[in-house]
Amino acid sequence: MAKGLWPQLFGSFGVRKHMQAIALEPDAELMLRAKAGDPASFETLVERQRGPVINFLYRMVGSQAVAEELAQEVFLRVYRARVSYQPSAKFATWLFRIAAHVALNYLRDRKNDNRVMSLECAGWASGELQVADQRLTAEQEMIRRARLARVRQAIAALPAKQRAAVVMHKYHGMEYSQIAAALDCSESAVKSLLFRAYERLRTLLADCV
Amino acid sequence: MECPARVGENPQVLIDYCAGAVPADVAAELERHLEQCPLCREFCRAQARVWSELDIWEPAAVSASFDACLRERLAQDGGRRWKWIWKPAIPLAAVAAAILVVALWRGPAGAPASPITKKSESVDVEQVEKALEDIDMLKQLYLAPRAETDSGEKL
Repeated sequence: MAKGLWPQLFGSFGVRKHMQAIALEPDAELMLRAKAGDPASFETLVERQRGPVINFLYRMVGSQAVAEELAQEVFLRVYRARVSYQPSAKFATWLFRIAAHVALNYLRDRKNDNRVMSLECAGWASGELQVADQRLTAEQEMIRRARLARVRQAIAALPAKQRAAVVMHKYHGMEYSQIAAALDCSESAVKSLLFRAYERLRTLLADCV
Repeated sequence: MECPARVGENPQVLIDYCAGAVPADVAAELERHLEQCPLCREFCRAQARVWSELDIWEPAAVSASFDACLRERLAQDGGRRWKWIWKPAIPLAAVAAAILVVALWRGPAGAPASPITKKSESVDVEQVEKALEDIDMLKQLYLAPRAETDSGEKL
């Protein structure tokens, strides 16, 4: 019993030392608790972060089902990486780095699969899983759906890395430094990606209104 | 203020302005510039339109089964890891067990006597035989002088 107790005690002292050294954000604290062997902390972490991760992946791949499948892969990787986790960067940045990696890998692998591609193109255009707004008339709802389909198609038309940068910037309010860390490139590269992406979107969505 | 639309990297400032991500003093300066510059005004108008259009795409709700699926996958992953750890151990254990069984089978009861043991046994028998012969010879040596003295006494 004593043999099993010591590593636990040392582990928790290590975690406490870390927590005192850095003013930890709640997610990093939960991750460190998961690292120390607390499964409830990991569940809380998933509960807090699954929404942003799934939404990011959904806007990257255009399908809710695929996004949820990829999000599971992301959390599986986070769970496996808990052992070596160090709270050196903001937790969300670290998480989005994994999510971006998973999404970009998926998009790269999917390129040659025409069957999946055609199915997903249909998903991109249809505005799948978007609930009708009850306050709108039928005509307004039709217009809203048409605009939504155009936005989705415009985002889908962007190269994968530009898309990731736009989604992080626009929908997740991430700073250039965070996007750079998540996409593993420099801040000036992120600014360039965003500038070209928004330029393309301005053209594609020019006659929207 | 230099025109952001005409200078290299500066359109990024206009993008930040449209996203509401510039400090108040920079925003005020830009607004003064926008009043005079139709190029930047057009840029901001188009960018603001894109910004508001992108708002239409709202996130979808997470499906109810997500957590249960994830929990199942985490459990499977844990199991698979154990399998992975035990995978090379199983044949090793089988080999060790086989060696143990062979060792026990060929052990003290069923093991044929080694040639060294045989040799030592045969050496022991020869030694005993030789020792007996030596004793006989000594007996004869002992008896021979006595016979000679007996006959001398007689003479």
